[in-house]
Amino acid sequence: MDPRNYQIAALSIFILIGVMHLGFQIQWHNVMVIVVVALLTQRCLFSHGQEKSALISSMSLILLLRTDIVAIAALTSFIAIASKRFIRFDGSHLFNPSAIALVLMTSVSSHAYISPGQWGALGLVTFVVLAIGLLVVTRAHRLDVALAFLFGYTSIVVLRGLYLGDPVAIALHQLQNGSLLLFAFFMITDPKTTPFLRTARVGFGVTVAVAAAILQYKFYLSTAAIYALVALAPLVSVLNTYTRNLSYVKPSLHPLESVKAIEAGVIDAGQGNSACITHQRQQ
Amino acid sequence: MLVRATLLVSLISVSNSALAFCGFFVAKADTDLFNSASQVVMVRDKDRTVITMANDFQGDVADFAMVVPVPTFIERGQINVATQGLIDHLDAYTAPRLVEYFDDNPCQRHRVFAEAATAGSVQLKTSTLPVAPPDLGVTIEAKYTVGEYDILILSAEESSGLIEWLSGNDYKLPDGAEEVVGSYIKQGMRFFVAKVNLEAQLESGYSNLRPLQVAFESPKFMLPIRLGTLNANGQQELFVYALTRSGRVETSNYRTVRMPSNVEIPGFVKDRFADFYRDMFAKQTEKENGKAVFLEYAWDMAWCDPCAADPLTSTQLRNLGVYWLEKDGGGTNQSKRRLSQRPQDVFVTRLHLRYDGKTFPDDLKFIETGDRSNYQGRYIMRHAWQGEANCAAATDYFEMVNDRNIIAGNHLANLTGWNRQEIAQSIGVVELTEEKWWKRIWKKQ
Repeated sequence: MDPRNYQIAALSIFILIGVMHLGFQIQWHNVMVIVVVALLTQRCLFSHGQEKSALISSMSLILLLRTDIVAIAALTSFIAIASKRFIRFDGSHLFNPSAIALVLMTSVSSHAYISPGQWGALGLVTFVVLAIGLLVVTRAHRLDVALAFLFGYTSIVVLRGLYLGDPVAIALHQLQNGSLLLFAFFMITDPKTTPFLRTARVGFGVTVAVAAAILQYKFYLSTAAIYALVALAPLVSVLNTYTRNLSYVKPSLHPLESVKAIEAGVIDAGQGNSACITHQRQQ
Repeated sequence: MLVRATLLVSLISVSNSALAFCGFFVAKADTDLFNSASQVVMVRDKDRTVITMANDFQGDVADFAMVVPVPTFIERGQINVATQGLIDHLDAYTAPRLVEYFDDNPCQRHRVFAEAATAGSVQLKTSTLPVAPPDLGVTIEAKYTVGEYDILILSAEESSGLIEWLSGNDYKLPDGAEEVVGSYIKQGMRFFVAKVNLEAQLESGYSNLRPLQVAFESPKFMLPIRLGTLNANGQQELFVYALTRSGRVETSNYRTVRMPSNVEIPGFVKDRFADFYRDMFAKQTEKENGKAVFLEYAWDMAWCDPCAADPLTSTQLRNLGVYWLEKDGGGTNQSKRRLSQRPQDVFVTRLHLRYDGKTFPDDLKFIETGDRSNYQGRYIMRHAWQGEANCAAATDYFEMVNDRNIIAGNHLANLTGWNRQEIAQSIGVVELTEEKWWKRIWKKQ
């Protein structure tokens, strides 16, 4: 089954939990506008389908964007989808659609904001099991970037706590933030805006974590992770270009990885374990 | 000496609730102080913050001292005193309110809205903020008198220096203070100490200590509450009133939850409104596992409906630190303003939390949202018609009143956890069982 179906299901569950259990202030006219604008924009700007992709972007916006102005909701949704069409590099879109739209709109309008505390401190285990469970069946080939980000961010938070002499409870509290986990599992893992080589993805995940921590603790930005992801998006292109120029995939590449890479169009079918990387990018 | 030490510990443990914003009570001798909650007003616009900390210190003012951590270096002129009346007014204006409606004669066809009354603020008590002074390895950057307070602005490179200085000057600090102070110092925070200058206090003419204010510029929008959680004397109460320009304030590292509102409750609660609200707050806190900050009020300062108190005037707001407002005539024509809804460009948020070191391990961090939608804690009583009603419609009416009372009783039980049987007795029904929905179908025929 299309892995995006699982993702749509997961995001639907989060929206329902948010509204019914956590009292998210989601306005239903905004929901409708975001979804309709996203789907229409997708249909107008892209020749072939991909409505599911637009739906996933709009669901992310529903979870994250808060605004009292419908036009802002509509514009954010439009920017998210249009960014895929107009901000491209080397044949692929550059930014995570919902992330770039959120960063732009929350930067220019005080009527658009993100509520980073809306999830509170979730029961870590429950959430991680749920998220990992979904990841296993959906997009395990991006679990690496999620874990790299979480590893990097956790390390920084713990080390900072040790440096400050803070009790462990503070670091645990900061790491249980539902928004952080949701970002790690459902935003930074977008296959179109992460490097196509695993080592590069791990490096990217850690780099985003470092940038997020700096924005969080040095510049006191409460939505640091999303800003970090957008700021570092060009790095993905750099990494992809660089790794492609290496023109050689290590023979030690795991057979399963090779299959995935072939499926993703990263590696030429038939070149197997020692395949050269082609210049074809995933679409 | 032993007695004194014991007293100090108890004093500190009683006082630590005052650590809402800041520091911790430190007492140099035994004092008869009691602080059950803290109140802090935060004015915030861009990177500018003005904090006003209520002070209801009840002991001998000579024993009062307060250490206040602030996010950045401050200098003379950035500390001021306000009057407690400002905070009391803000408290009253934003307090959860009880409204009541009186049914009209059911034999007259139409029911008319009769009256909306407000109940005063829920007196959960207010707070104070306390602290201590300096010496070893600590530089006193400035020392001057503001109002009735002697202010010492400290610069400490290491927590041990500040702690030693405080201890050396006879100020007793709770266990664990050094770790927290150390963490704050490493995060670049500064401290000032406020003590009472007895002469200045006499001259001021104020018998109670006035709230301290501090203005600073920093991207940090937060309240350091960790020092206040050090004493293991249970949970503490904190009210934060935020005055902003763009919209409601919420915590970014804890969930902000709206208190249940616009709920009908039985009429007998009128005399027990404070109990009702206190118990409801306890119940809601328990429901959130003690980990939520509660929104009690979010409103444009230009008006209110119903008003528990008049909106603050521009002058009052300026005195609280709302620097972007123009001065007005000093609060005349309040009732006129209530109707005119003249824009004030100030949005007020009232947050309320009950916390300890377990449920709120980290300091409070805030964000200013763009949400300007109005919210208030509002609880409704509907009084049944008490006069004569001899008509066919009256039978249906009194049945409706009975059903309504049962529903209100259930609301009350669910919100507060009060005994259902006692509620039933109070509203004059056998039990709080709602009528089966299907009975009404045929009853109406």
